[in-house]
Amino acid sequence: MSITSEAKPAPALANLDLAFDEMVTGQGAVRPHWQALLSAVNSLAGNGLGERTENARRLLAEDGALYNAYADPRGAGQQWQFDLLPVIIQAHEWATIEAGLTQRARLLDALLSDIYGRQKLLHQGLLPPALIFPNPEFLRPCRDPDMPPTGMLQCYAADLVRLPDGSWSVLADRTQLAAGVGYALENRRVLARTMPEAFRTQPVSTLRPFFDLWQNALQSLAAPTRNSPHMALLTPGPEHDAYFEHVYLARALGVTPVEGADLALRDGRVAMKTLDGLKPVDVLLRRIESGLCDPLELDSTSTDGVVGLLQSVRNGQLAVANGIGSGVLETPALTPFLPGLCRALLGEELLMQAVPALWCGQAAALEEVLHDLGSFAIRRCFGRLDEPVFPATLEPAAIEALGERLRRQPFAYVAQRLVTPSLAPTWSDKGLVPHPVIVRSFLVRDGQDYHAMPGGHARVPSTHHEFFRAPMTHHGIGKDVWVLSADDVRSVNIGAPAPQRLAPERTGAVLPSRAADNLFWLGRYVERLDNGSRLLRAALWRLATGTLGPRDMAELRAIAHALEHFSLIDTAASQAPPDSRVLAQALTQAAGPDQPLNDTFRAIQRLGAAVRDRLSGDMWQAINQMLGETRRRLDYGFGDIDRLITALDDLIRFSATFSGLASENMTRGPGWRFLDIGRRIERGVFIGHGALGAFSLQPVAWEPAMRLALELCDSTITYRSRYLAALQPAPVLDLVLADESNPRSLAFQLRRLDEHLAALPNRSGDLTVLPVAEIANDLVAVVRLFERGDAAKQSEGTPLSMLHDLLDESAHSLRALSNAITRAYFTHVPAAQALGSQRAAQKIT
Amino acid sequence: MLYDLSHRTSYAYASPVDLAWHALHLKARALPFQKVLASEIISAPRASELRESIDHFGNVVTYLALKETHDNFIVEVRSRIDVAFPAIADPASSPAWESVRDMLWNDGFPTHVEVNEFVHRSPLIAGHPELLDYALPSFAAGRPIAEAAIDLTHRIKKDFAYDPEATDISTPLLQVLKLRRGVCQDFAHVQIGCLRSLGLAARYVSGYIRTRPRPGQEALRGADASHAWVSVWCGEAVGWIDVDPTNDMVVTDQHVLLAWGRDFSDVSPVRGVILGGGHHTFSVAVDLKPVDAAA
Repeated sequence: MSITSEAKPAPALANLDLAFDEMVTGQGAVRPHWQALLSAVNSLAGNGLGERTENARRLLAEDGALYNAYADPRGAGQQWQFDLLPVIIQAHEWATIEAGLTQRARLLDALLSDIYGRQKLLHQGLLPPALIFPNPEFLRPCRDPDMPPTGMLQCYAADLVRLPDGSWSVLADRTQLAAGVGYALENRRVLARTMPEAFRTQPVSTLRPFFDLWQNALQSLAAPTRNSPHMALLTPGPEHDAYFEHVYLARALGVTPVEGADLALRDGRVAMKTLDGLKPVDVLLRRIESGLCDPLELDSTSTDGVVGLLQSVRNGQLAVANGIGSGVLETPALTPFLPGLCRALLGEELLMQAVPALWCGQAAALEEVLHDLGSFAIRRCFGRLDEPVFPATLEPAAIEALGERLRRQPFAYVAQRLVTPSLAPTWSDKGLVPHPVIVRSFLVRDGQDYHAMPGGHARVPSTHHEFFRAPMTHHGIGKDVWVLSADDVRSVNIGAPAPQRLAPERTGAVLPSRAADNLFWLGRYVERLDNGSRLLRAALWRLATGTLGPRDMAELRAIAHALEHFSLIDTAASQAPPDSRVLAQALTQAAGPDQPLNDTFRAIQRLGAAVRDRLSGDMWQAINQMLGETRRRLDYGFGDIDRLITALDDLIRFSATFSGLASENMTRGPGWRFLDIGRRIERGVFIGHGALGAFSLQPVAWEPAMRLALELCDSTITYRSRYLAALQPAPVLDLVLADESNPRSLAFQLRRLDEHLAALPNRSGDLTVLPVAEIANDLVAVVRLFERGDAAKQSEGTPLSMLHDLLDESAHSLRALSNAITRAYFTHVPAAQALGSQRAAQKIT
Repeated sequence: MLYDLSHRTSYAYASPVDLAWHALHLKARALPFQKVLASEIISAPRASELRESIDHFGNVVTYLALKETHDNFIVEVRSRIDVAFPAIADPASSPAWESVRDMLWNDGFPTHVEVNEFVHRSPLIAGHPELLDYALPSFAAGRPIAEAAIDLTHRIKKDFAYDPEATDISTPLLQVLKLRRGVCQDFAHVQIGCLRSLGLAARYVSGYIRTRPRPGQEALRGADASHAWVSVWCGEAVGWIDVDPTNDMVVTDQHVLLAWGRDFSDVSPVRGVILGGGHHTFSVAVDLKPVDAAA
């Protein structure tokens, strides 16, 4: 038995001594176009690049660009690093690249039209059918004999590497989604903020015109009859790894981000569910894979798409970019056929070379590959996530087995020749270190031709293997790409048409039903977090004092009762003696993992991400940064009362910050109203059953109950300044229940809700469940009773029993209102299911 | 042979369905040897939208949208069809199977592109060495392709037990091959997988088989529901021939052809997406009877 050896380092697949160095010539001199940047970097004050790198990291984290915290609530998702040193491409080099990529995009577009149209190329023997028919991205329902000759490929990305001779080569074509373009824009923004002086050294082409062009191009896809077309970006939602990019791109292009569940089919058109009903969508920029777009005609298990989308496209009612099925061209096995296809389709020689690839389905190619296996990366033709095999790293037996596989199913494999990528300087503690880079370029079609973004997204793969692995755009190390402009005009001449003249509007964009739904619940959860934190803190404060007097005991009992009511501790703990270990333990664990308070956190982060495009940047920061940090601190201080109290203080401060920002930074549209409605309902319920919970204990301990009510409603100071005297039921209840000038009173919540409801479109007439005026009168009446009567009596018809009834009634009405709002405004679609994918449903014998 | 066909599928849902969309492969395609004299689709509830189109393979697809809330969905197709599969030439005179395979490959650029589509693996029929092992005894070197295909049909009937309880659509092909049990769809998939493992073109055919036997004959398997069999390409001169591994027969005039594709997933008779519905049960009734020429 052999001893398991340690993991061997991956053998070098390429001789990096041969590599082209982006910054330094073979003679060791710094290339002229790098000198300005280098001297700018060298003259940075302080810790130089180290400090700037930290700033950039912080900016990216604040934007939520570093990792998807919602896909992984602990924030342990894979983070990428941003390297401040860009890859610099000179103007004349860029002109060559641009010409090559533009032609390549035209070629791929024409190819798509043929594959989904008449398939002449297959019949002419220019394109092997084995690269199309078994390709899972060839979607038969998208065939259309009348396919127009161009236009399926609206956006396109190419991964480029620079070979030792200094020329650029295409490593991979990205025709499905051209992902990563949002990161390119974000990287540029962050770099410009962290190292503005670097941009003063030379004319760097700006990126914004590219996005203006793209926006116009999207608009021009709409049927000419639509005056101001409604454009949306279809995303799988906050759980998706690249959700940041989807939302960022939607903002950059001025389109509405939507999920499949926001869309419905009406009269053959795809429409968005909004507060004002269904609004037709004219143009859809999809960020979901083709196969997921329509569960009726494509993958029936997909919940990311919408039924009828394909038909709506066929009817000409909806334009989708890229055309559905565009991913069929992502296989590198097409490489050897592109030169011939270019001559046939465009009548031109292919300008830009690609990393050589051989499709093993042809006998000569297979022999060539088998003869020299070590200099190739071998992969299956289809399936992007398939790991390539590097024969150079294999043992002889494994090479033999691989050869066997290739001979048995040659058509299923493609071999890409290993190449030596260029090296670009990357900052580390040790200074500038040369690392291999891949540059992703982006192009967009404006109706006539393709235009390349003068920039891009560069990545430093962690191993050479990653070059051939279709790495995710946001893993490893990312870099900005600078394209220097020939003249000193710092923009690109892509002739973006003048933007539409806009008339001032006050109403704001349509609010999708789901956004309203999310804002409503965000409001409720932020308030719930606040309430829970206040209750817990009140309990912990008392515990932290050490010895518990009778008053503390009574108050703790009341708080424990309220905590149980809101499910923050269990019954056993709430009924245990207040000075017992049982309660203490339950309290210190209530904010721990898998407890309800933690679920509330998670819900806030998830909802915040989902409505991020509706929140101000600062509100988003509050959720992303403040809440995220507090959460980590809570985990850290788990079980320690003092640390816990500090963390709870922070949570209450978060909630206050969030509300302050909402009230100062959000326009008073329906979005703000739903956020506030959620908050008011939650607070109203809390006042009745949390803050005043002690009034329903038998027998009522008056003094503690009143003190708690004031404390939990943050009204102690107001009371003292008004009455300067001992606590009495009538003034206390007046302050926390009936006083409409106190933002923590029940009456205040009701009044605000009344205003909001009056301002919303009353869709069903079903929102009259909250008798505000009536309850408000009753609140005043109850306070009067306490003023006159003997509060201590506890039989029927006494002030206390009337108070109980009133609190129950208002809580009941608030819950009914929540349900009525849900019914009236949020479309809750029952779960879709697919039929006919099982034989059971078919009975085929 | 003139047939009247009725095919009725009923779904019962545990909870109401608010909206439903269905894609139906229920109308028979017209072919040189098959005339569709009449065909209509009726549903309850009635479709609020109905659209018909031709899919990539040339089959008729009917799309229904049901917008009224319903607990049951019944869809029935009634057709009158005149069919006579062409008699196949002497199988022994068909070309050697290797020559057909080479034509279909031709170093990546086959002469018959449409046929080539059915050479490759498909969603429900992956390639397994076991399929090749099973196929080879029928495909001796140089054997005429039609003869070899008919022999394979015969062996599947002989080796596999008809057992509706043994499998469902989620049973992988390899599992069927190991179990040696299944229903017509499994047998068709096995035979297609075998043929493709040899580099030959085979397609999945969905249709029906005559419900009542001819006088003095045994009832055929698969008569009470949709049926499925295999079409194999035998070179330019012979073209496609249809064989039924469930009944070990060459398809002549007891079958009616509905649609074809790479495998079942291309031609599922009733597929759909419903909102709501919960658990559902279903039933299928098929009747394919000859029209009495005297009547």
